Amino acid sequence: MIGTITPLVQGVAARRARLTVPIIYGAFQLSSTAGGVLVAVVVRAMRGVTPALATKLSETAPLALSAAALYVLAAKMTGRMPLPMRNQQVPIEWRSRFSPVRALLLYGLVLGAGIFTRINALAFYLGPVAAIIAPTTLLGLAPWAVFAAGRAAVVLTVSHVGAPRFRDQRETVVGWGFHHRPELEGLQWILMSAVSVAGPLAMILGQRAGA
Amino acid sequence: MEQRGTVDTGSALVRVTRAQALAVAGSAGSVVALVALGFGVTGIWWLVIAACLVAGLAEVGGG
Repeated sequence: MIGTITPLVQGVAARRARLTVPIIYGAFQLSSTAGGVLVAVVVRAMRGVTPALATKLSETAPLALSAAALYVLAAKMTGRMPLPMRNQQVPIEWRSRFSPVRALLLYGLVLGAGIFTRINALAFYLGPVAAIIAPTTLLGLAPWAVFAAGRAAVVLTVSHVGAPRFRDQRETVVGWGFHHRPELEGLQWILMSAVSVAGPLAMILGQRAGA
Repeated sequence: MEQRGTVDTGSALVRVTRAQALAVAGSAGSVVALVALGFGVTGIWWLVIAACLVAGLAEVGGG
């Protein structure tokens, strides 16, 4: 992904006047976040098919989140349980087919949505689950939106910070991402474990508060 | 977190199994969960949002 987008971001930024660089970066950030929010809205709209079931799910949302987190952890541990994903990368030909700015916006939308590309991050799966079961729309959209925002932010950070030092060393820029992935993956394992533990506890706390 | 690998602790390289890594993550996660729920039942949603943010940052090389 970074290998595809970083040169595009750098190329677009280099061709524009200094003042428009933040606008270009902002547009990529916004398009990615919009991609995440859009798919979250579509997934959440599925609640309308069976409103009664959706309400029931929302009442037990902490347990469902806990179960989802445990399932993903187990799937990653064993490697034998299915985790749905479209195992493809963003189309590299968009760089030549569309103008740089349009290609950036399209890449942002697709990457922010997440479901149209390969998924390496295990915590991503909490986003779709939250979109369906969250008791409020804000809580339903927020996880997917922050995933999309984070995904765009790290691309822009690598593109911007890494570019001057590694302008002619694209592989080094790409390597930066892979170098830091283990720490972020470990943090995800901790947070996923936290969600799986917090689910039952939150239900108990909620029942005590309601009693 | 892969089957068996090395983890750079900063001062030395140590070998860990997946079970050991999961045990560490689970222990740390339990503490994080208790802290989050200390802020109320909605603490689990903050955990979910934090996890998704980290997932986005970790997708630096994917997609």
